[in-house]
Amino acid sequence: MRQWEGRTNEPLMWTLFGAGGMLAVFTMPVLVVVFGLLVPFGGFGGAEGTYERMHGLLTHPIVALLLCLALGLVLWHCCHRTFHALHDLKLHPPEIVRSMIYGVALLSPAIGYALCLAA
Amino acid sequence: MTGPGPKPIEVVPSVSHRRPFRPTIKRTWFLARPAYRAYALREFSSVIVGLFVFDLIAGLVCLHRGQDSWRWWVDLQTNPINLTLTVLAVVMSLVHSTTWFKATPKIIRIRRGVHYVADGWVVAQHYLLLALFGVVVYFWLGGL
Repeated sequence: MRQWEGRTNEPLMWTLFGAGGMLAVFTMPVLVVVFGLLVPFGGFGGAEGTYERMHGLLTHPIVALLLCLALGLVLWHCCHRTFHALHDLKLHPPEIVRSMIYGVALLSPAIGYALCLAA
Repeated sequence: MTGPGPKPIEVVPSVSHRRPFRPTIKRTWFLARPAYRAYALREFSSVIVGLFVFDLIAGLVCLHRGQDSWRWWVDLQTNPINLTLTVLAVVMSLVHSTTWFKATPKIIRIRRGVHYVADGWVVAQHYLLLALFGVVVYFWLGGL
């Protein structure tokens, strides 16, 4: 595979990282406050009210796919930074650790989506 | 004609006597200065936010499984362990967002005529987008 010699996958990794970061900064504070604090303590009609609102729309296969992709990008961003932060802790883990951390970012939303479709 | 030519170069065994200074970096170097601590906090925030993403994926699966499952997930959020994660995630997601917004004028330079759009405006646009997303979610869920 001569044409791949000297190539790096960094642009691809960086694009996914950047996309995830952009999504994270604009959405995560809101999602954490709404679904982590407000809904569990009775906001937005609690479990019943939010179920009425979200079931049907968010359970559409295409919407669920888009949500899993978006959450997957944010997770990719977080895993990327977690892996690179290991070097700051003077840990220089072998490649298998990199594969595992990025594997989590790839597989978690995929398994989540599969479970959604299976439900 | 013989004269005192240049002396032949003496070949010495190559034993290096240089002693370069190699600073040792402690594993806790990032606690040393406020700027380092801010950097470390920002990087650590990604771990917490990432854990909350798992929580959200679980929530989406539970939403698909029906009303009882969704109620179970919502109740799970009041579990002390989960609540600790949530409170940490609120702080850490805000750390992540605000530090990024603060950095954006370094990247986004918009020229209007001979001047550049002021840094404050670029930052404000980002806060505006975050607020917009909050407002959209608020009204989509039918208000508190």
